[in-house]
Amino acid sequence: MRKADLRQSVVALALLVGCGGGDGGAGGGSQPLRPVPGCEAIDHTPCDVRDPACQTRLLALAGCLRGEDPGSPPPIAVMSEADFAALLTSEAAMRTPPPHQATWDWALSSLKVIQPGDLGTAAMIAQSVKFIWGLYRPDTKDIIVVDHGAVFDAASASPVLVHEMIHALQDREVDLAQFHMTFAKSDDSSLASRSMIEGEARMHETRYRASVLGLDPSQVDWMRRFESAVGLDEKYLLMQPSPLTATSMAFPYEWGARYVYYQWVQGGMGGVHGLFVAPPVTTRVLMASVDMNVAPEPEPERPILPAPPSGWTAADVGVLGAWGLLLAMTEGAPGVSASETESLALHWRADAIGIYEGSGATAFVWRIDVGDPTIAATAVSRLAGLSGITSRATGTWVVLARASDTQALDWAFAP
Amino acid sequence: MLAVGCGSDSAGESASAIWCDGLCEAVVRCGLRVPTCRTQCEQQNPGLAAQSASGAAAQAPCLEQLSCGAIGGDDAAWQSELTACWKQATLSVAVTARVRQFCPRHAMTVFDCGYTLSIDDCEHGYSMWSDATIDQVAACDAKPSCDEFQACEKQIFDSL
Repeated sequence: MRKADLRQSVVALALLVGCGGGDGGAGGGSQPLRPVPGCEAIDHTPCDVRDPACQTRLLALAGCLRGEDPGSPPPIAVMSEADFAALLTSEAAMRTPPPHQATWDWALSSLKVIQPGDLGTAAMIAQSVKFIWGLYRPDTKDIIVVDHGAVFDAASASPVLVHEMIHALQDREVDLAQFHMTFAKSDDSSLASRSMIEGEARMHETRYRASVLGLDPSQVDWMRRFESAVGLDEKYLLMQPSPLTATSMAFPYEWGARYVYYQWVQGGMGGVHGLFVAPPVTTRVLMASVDMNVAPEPEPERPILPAPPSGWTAADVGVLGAWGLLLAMTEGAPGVSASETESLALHWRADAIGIYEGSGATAFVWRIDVGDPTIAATAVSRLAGLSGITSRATGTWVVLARASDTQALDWAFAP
Repeated sequence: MLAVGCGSDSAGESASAIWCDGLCEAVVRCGLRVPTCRTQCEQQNPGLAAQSASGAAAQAPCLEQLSCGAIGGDDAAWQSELTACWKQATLSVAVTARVRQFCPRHAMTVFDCGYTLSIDDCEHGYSMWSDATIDQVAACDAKPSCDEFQACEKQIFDSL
């Protein structure tokens, strides 16, 4: 006689009802849809996103959610995961590989924020194919919706298409390529400013998704929803083997949606449009905007990194921001609570990480200003668990350094 | 061989009796001699009481067709076939009045806490569970924080 494991049944339920988070499993079923307030005139019923009539209707809904005339739909293609992977692969083949990628891979994997090799093209494409449900391409002004197979249906794809339609409307308003060139001057500012683009799209998508789920949008506790989504994604990201590469699939969406939502509540769509003129350019601002928005701050001056000794070349410089500091401290001291690590990371004022290449060796130096000597000492203690890395507190600064061989790195800690 | 009374006439029977009758039908079909099959099944699976009779009835035809490998000790087959029976049953289970009343609030709580659960999926998923189980989950919906809500729900289902 077999004993049934009822927990198995619960897992099945969780999968079926979509309790695991993510974008799949939303079923409209036979429930009457309650439209998004203000957009009652538009039919909210999920539809076949391949159908031009469906596309036109969902664009009208996206326009209504943004409070504007939607114009005509952009070209839309639905493609399988395999075709999407082939497209990404062919696009990657046309691009010049980023310089010093291997050194960055080594430096970031030394900090344990990625796994070795995860900056490689194949790993990035595999991640994109798995997690991307839709894509708006500003260069070609078209939309791709990815058919993930069994979980792809009208109820799951329609909110995705609304999300991408929002991007098309944003592009018509602000020119997303120009927006990116203006505000994405480092990894940190890129992540923060991209959070306005994805955050607005996620906010409107979520407003529509509530209707698709059969919920009454007027009864949703929206602040709680957007705050909870941040909490869930933070937990998820901190569990990932490569949290930094996974970040791009989560941070801009949920941290961005929370920020844009607060702005929308206070200033309506006018306030949201303003975020595209003066967006936050540090992840610290987004992370700190828990109960209300922290106003965007100017991007801090990038700290000066030490000049390497003879035989070394300063190859490249980046900014990991408060989010990067949070990830590194989490890896360095996994036993410390996430909230404690986050409050420490919010002391971030500025940082720069430099990678260096010598004859057969590589090194990195990461200098972080946390604004307070005591905080700097605490941060160093949280980073001490990163094996092979030397970390020191000097005044308000935290300095981390490592070389791929056993060379002395005294130069890395020079003031 | 005819079934020993399961599935076709389940009025008034408990969920565990219906579920175990379905399983025992497969046991017989596979040529195993377990004279006290239903009694043993009910004793070894007290958690079946948390299921609804309609949910068990919806699973019964599928349970009757479990493979002899699953019945005979292949754990992987057992788990995957039970999961398949559960999923299939959620599509056909009758939605109860209690669940119709429960789902708008529960799906809203799930949504507020950052997940997605449609009213329709809620109704079909939770119709598999008894009213007593639904009442327990409904109490979780009233928890002030999402962490407490999730812990409460987890505790209910982990204890089954």
